[in-house]
Amino acid sequence: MKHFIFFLALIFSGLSFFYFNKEDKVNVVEDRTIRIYASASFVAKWGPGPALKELFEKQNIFKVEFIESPDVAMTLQKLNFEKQNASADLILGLDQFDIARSAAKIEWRTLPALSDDMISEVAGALKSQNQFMPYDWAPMTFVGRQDLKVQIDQLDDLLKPELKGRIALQDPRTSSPGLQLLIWIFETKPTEQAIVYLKALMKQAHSFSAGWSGAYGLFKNKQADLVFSYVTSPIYHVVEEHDSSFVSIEMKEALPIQIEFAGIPKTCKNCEGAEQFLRFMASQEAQKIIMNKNYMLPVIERAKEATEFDAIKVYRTLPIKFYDQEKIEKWINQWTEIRKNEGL
Amino acid sequence: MFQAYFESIKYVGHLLPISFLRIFLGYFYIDLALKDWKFYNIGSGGLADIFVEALNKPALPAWYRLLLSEQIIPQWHIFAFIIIGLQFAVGISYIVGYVVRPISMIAVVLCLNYLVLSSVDKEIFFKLLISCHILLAWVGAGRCLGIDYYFFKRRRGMWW
Amino acid sequence: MKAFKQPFSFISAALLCYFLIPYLIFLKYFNLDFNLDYAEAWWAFKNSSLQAFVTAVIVTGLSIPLSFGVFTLKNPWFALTQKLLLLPQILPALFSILIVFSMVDPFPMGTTGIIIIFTVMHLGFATVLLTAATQERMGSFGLIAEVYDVGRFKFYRRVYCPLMKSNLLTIFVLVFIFCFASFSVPLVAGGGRGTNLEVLIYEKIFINQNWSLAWTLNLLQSFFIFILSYLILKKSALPKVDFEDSKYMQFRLGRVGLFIYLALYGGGYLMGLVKARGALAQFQALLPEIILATQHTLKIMVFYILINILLLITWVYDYVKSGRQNSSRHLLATSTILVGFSFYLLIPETSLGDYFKIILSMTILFFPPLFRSFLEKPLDQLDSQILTCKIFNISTSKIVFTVVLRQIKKPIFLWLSFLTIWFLSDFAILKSLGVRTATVGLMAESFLSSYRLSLAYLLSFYILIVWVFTLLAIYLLKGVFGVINKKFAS
Repeated sequence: MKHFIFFLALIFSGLSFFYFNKEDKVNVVEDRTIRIYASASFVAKWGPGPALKELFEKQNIFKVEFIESPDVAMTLQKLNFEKQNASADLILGLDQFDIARSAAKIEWRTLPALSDDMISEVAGALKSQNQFMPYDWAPMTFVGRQDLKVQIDQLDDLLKPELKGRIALQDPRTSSPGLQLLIWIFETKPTEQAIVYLKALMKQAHSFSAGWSGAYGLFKNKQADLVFSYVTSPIYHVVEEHDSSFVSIEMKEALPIQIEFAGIPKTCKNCEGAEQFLRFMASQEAQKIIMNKNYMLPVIERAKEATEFDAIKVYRTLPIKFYDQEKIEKWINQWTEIRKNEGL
Repeated sequence: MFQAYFESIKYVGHLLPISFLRIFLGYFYIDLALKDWKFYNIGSGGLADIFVEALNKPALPAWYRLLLSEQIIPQWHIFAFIIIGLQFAVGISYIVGYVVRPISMIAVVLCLNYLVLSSVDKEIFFKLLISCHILLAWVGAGRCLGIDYYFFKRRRGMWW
Repeated sequence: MKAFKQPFSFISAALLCYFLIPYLIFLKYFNLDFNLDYAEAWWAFKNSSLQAFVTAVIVTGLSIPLSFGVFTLKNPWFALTQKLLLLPQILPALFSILIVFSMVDPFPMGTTGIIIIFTVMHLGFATVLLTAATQERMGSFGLIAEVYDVGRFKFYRRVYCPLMKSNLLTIFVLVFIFCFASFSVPLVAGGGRGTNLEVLIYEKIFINQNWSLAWTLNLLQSFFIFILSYLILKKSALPKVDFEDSKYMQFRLGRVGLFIYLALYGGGYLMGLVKARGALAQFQALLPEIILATQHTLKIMVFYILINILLLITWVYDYVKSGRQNSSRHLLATSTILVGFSFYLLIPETSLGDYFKIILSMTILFFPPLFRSFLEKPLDQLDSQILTCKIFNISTSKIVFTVVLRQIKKPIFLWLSFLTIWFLSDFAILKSLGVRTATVGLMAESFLSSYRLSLAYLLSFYILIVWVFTLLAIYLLKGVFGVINKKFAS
């Protein structure tokens, strides 16, 4: 009996091995399908993915297939390994840091100009590169409740004694918003002052969460009075929870911006379809969907007119920059050193 | 084991003609499996077509038609994979003469499936094939020019 | 059993290879990179060890009175309390963190804070483990001591501690390992000491995209845990005995502690649920998706349970045949992100691929620690019976099915119930696998990462209900099989 079972198991495992390693696997994918890697919250029913897919498929002959990407770093590494066998046609959810890190590893297609009326804040991102298209953005700042007793106008106000241990932050070693804050501090202050400031900020921090969701959870649970998040965060509470008690805080310093980009790897199988989808993403209808479902600002003019997003005052923002790896690592090391010495 | 393989001609020589039939059938199944595998990778034709065509066959039993339309065709990838795997198993087993008895029972089941699925003109062929498989199982065809002899000599029992 | 020991067992090697698949994949794709910042790694290692050691001591110590507290309860409260004690294991780490922050205000950040959160997260699990172990090991010693009027403290000192030593050590090591490889807690509550090896692994991936270095760190971490498990967790082959309850095994203060723990944690969770009731309408709107996800989850879970049972049978078969437990039992804390990534890399994104990925990764991550917690000791206790069977030349499969598996039915049920909870509630693994099939775990994860904390609370409650129903189904199936077995036996 066991010989028989063993034999069958051997045959089937061999067959599975060949199935998963076959070279021509990607040819099976129909030419008209565009395979798009996007984050779970983009693909989810409440995210913009399903609505975009429906609208796009109505307007075009292409079919859209969303593939959930666990983490951009992982997806990029997977693409790097698969090389010509990679089946991704379009990658969504890349931020400035991903672009800086992945530029050398993966080859991307050069994109033609996909939209003429990009807003000025993100248009800068297209000056230095033409391989990634921004599709949404939001300035980042501190979000609090309206009944916050402390007046905050600038970064230095965060050091007020009333806020000691009351700010939920993200760890820059594991989270993009955390890295944004760190870079913001180093960009707006001279290095020496930035280090002194960071040291003082450590005492104000409630905690450094591994990701944005952890920090935001603490803030929502009233463990913290302030959280570093997106300017657009309060809109979510207004729209979905009918709660207008959250406010994003305007600062004297220009705010850092988080832009989400899309890119087409050179190994794409349906490159034409992917480009078509990008063009669609830059359209008014698609931008509205992304804005309403992702709670981020549109990248083209007029898309937010007559919506809740129009009420958001767009604060002064820092020009978009792609930082090189060494610089980021240097800042992270400084942060780690300060954190190490400060902690218990 | 290698020695036992050839030694079997001396001790179970009367099964030699049957073992040639076994090896030929093994080749037939491997050839069939390879063809189906090719179609399987392309994603159409082969087993996929057989499943769909079978739905048009008037003599198909009602429960099988239901199974085909509700379960097999929506998930034809999984079922085709299993069938191809079993075809490979039969082919390899027959050629090397390993676990021939239980495998020939699987081959009978496969043939019965084909008997139901394929067109009427192929029925005779599959019936003949079934009788061949039963014959192979009955005589324990793996014992001559096969690895089964090695195990039969040591363990006896109905599996070899 | 030495006389029956075989020099090489194919099944042993195959089992070990199964649990080493992620390592083998990484070996194929990456080279080891020892270009580490050793001072940083050492610092992280020290932090991890300190936090994990202190937590393990506290949790193991507290689990003793709490388990005595559990013994003061009669069924159905006895069973219900044990299920409730598992709550902190089922909920996402973020919930436990939020509950503890609400419970302890102002919260002491730093090592103390980490230890508090870890203790709350693992105390329930340790108590359940110890209660099960006590039932297995103590037999009627409590009752005999009571009849002879030995005295409570003398009983603890002379009977309980020596008998339960190896079980307490197992709990200590398991808690140590869970804390050692934890990711989010040390960061949130950690202060400067928030860096541990798991955080370093993630940092190498997130900041430097240096997978080789991350993989080297994971290998070092796994190696340390392997050695720890190998050196400390020795085999003890005392036979299993029937448990008799006694006054010495009951501790009223323990019951009070138990209720305080459950009230604080459960209360914190209930508060969260009450606050989340505003999102009920949203939850209802998403119900069709949630039900679909539940169907997917249950489908995968059936295969997952079957594969685990198959692995268990193979493991037991190998144990009976070779007389030693498979070495993969020491693989207790493989990095979640690296296991996820290795399968993400290798297996294509199809629905069939998802099944493979989920089942492979979850069995690899959960089988060894849960086997260690529930089945290793009961199996070792059957050593002498296996030896006797072998002397009588009874076939291995007969020993496995009629002698071994029948006698460890209860621990197997407990083991299965844990396998299902961990399966249902694991969010991190599913995310790192890049799974496309919507499952409830994945839904909760995407709720958490998109402002929808309230929906995540409601979904976690839904997961609890699904878990209870799954357990009922397993229990029912167990009963049905029992009846069929008896019919055939007669």
